[in-house]
Amino acid sequence: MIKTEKAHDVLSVSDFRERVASLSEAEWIKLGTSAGYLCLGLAIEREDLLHTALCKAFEGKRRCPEDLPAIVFIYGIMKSLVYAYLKKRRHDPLAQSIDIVVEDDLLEALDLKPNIDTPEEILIANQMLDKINKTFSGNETIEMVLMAQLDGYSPKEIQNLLGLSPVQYASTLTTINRKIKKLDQEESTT
Amino acid sequence: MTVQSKDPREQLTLIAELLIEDLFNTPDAEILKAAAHDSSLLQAGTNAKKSYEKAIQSVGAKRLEVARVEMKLANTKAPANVTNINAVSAHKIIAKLSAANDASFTLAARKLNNLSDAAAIELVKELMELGAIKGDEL
Repeated sequence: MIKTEKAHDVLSVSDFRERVASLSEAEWIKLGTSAGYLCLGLAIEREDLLHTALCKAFEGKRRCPEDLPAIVFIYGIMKSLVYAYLKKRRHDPLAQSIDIVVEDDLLEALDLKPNIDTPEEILIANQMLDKINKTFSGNETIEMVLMAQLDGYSPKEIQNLLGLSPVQYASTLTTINRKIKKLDQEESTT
Repeated sequence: MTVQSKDPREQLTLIAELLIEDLFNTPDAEILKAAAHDSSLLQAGTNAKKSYEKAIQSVGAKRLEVARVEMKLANTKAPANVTNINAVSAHKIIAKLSAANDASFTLAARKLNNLSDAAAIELVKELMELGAIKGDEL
């Protein structure tokens, strides 16, 4: 049986807007920072990504489930925009040809305007990845966590795989976070 | 560290997801505490709020543009022929508008019974010229 979506399962646009308007200072920091992380090594600006995601939601193109915190919902939109963007750029290696775009997510990616061509973007992403590798070289736990993440394991699976307690896992993520944030700051000042 | 995916941008996105997981699990109080010593966090919050304000403006501007286009489209409907209107037709049109209780014609409708043929024709012609009555509404 196909489960139909009930009207009260998602927020109306005005209710969602109210939720966003009442976000706390910490939640704004989380949103801004997550937008920055998603743009790591990409040729798009974090403010543009967040702006585009918010426009989608405010236009009612994406509807927030009632039980989902607004920032998680907005993050979800940003993530899908980034994946759509990457998908489009894969089909468009020189970023100069005109694609016949038919899929919705590829259409959405058109809202994100890259500021450099694909080859340069890949070069920058590779450099960032190299810096991350060098930073964590020798720290076996972190290297394993990153590898497992790149292999698509879930947080629970990573913990089981590496025998990490939730506290140890959280602490590892915090260390990764702190060091990559520093790298990103160095990158933006150079 | 072995690279599993070919596209470095995808790998960075996957790493970003890991960082965001940690960020979202961090209690708000801790974030604010960290922000007190880290201006980049405060800046990230300020920029996020700016993106929000910009999004409100963009969506509002888009709605206004849509309304403008719709209004323009409505006004491009063919105007009614104002030359050939007789008294019977004019009274019929006014009666129809009155029955529809269209707020635009309330004043005219009130005086419906007292209108002379000439006044009825004149009123309908004026409404047509103003574009208040379209050709397809006759």
